[in-house]
Amino acid sequence: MTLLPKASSLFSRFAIAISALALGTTVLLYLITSQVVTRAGDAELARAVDTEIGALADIYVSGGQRELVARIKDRLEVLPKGPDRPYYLLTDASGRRIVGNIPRWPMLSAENSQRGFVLLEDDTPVFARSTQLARDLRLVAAREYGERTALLMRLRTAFMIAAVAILAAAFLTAWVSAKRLRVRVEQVNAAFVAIEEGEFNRPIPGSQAHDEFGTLARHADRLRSRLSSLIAAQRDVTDHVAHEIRTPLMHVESRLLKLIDLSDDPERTAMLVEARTETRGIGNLLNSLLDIAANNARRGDRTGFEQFDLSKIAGHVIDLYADSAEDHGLNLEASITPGVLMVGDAMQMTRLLSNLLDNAFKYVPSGGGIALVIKPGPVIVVQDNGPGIPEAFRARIFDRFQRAHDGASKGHGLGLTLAQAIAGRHGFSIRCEDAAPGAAFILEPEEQA
Amino acid sequence: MAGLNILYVEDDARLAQEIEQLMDGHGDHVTWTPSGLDGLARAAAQPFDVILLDRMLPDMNGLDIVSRLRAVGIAAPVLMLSALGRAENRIDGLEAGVDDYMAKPFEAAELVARIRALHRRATGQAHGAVILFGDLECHVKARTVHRRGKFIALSPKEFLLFRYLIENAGEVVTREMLLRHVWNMSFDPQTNVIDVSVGRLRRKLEDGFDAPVLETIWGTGYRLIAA
Repeated sequence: MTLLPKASSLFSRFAIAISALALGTTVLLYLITSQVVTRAGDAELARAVDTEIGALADIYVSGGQRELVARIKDRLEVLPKGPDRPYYLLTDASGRRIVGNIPRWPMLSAENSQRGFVLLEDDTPVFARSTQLARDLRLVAAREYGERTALLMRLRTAFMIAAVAILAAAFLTAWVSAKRLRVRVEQVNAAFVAIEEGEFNRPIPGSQAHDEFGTLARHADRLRSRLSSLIAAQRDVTDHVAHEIRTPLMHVESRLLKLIDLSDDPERTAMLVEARTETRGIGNLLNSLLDIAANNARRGDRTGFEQFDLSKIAGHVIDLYADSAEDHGLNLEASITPGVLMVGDAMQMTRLLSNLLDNAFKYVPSGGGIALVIKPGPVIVVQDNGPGIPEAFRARIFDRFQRAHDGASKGHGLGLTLAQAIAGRHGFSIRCEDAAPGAAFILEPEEQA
Repeated sequence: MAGLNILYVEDDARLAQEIEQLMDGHGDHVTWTPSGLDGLARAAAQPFDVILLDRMLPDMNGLDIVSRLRAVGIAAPVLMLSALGRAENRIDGLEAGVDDYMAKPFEAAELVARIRALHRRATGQAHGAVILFGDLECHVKARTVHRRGKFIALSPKEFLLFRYLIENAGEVVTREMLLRHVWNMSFDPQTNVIDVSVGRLRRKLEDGFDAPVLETIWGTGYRLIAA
């Protein structure tokens, strides 16, 4: 198990989504808060400027223009420099400055006592209000946004710290819970892998939990236990069928053997030997049918599999068939890449190769050729230049008791069915192709799901 | 070879009787019991040369008996006889510690041959560098074969086949034994591939001579006989 889950994992995506959600919520909260603070600050600023201009208007009414100019000068000297610094401008009707620290009249109409946000010449944003004190006298008072801006800055810093903390907490929580969930799901997955490897009797962990995963584990465990008893039942039935048929066969055989020993008539001996061959045939038929059933039932079950050298086994098989090929007048060729390893049951794979060769030997006439090819993959090809297999028959060739040519009465027609069952159990697909002339049986690993 | 002392655990009384007679005929002594537990007790009480064990016993599984035997340090070679002859059953048996495994129905001759082979292996009897049998002569190291002093040219595979036959001269060897020891394979060929190879060897051994040396045992296997 890796420390960091893969990005494709449901749980990684869950952790990322939760973190993104937390971050998004924090940003939204910041936007709302800063909006509220901005509005409150603006109202406060407007109130301050209104109070100021009201006070200056009172001074003008009670003390006249000279008094007003003196007071404005005082204020400009006394009041703080810096972000909260006040701005004033007193002009005559033509806009000529009488006193003040604003160089030019802003875009505000004095007649209407207009107020609003304006930019000063040095681009300082201020909130300003103007008023017409007399026909020839206009006043504007303004304040910078200093305090509001500072507050917003502090707010932003606070939110940034909070966002980092929330993000970390959300990610950590999501990651820890995702990891816990992942561990539990992986336990169930591991149990399924074990089942594929043939461990049917190990209960699936986590079924005692009272949550959804507990339910999942319980369902999976019930399925496993059903599978386990099905497989046990299948083995039990086949074992008993084998036992019940073989034991009487054995008695028949031993009696036939005794008769063969006692017989001094060659003709009778020949018949008895034939009878014995037939009883053996029944045993072989039973074996093949049970092997086909077992291989089909255990597709994907890797119990008892080991790594072995397929090339070596193919070499042994070629060795075994060499004399027969010579006797039949067949050219048996081997094209075997050395050291092709595979995992499986070596004995069953030997049977598979031998069944494919038996099949070719049966149909290829004297003078023909048969080739066994082993390539990495592993890919197994058994190809001949015999009469080939009619296209209509190719789909059925792996069915039980099918023979392509009526003339071929040897064998019970299970060889290719067994070959297919063995191939299936080992994760191979097997198909029959036209080799023009002849037939080719090709085994390749099935596409991995 | 002196008669062997054989323990036979088998619940099929008819089969047991047949095998007792068979082994008696070969000068061996068979102690038979139908019960797995009794078989265990006997194996612990007295040494046997070879133990024959049925796999499916009413009171015990043959595989468990083998495990118990091995656990208490009884090393006598065990040949398991079983109606479960399929590949996977065989593998189970060999994994449990049996020395050889035979599927029912089996050849009487093969049983005798395999019991002999097990005993030979267990007591470490080996053949020398030159094996003589009748008018046949096999030089194991030089890999040459002579009959009545005349050199017989064999292919490497034919030599291996001949060597196995002469090592078991006078005994029946089955196709399965040949397949296992000569071709290093363990499966049940459905065709006569082995007969073809044996037939070719026979022609080389017998062409130009009047007496046969390689006998076919109908439906069972082959035996090298002294000409």
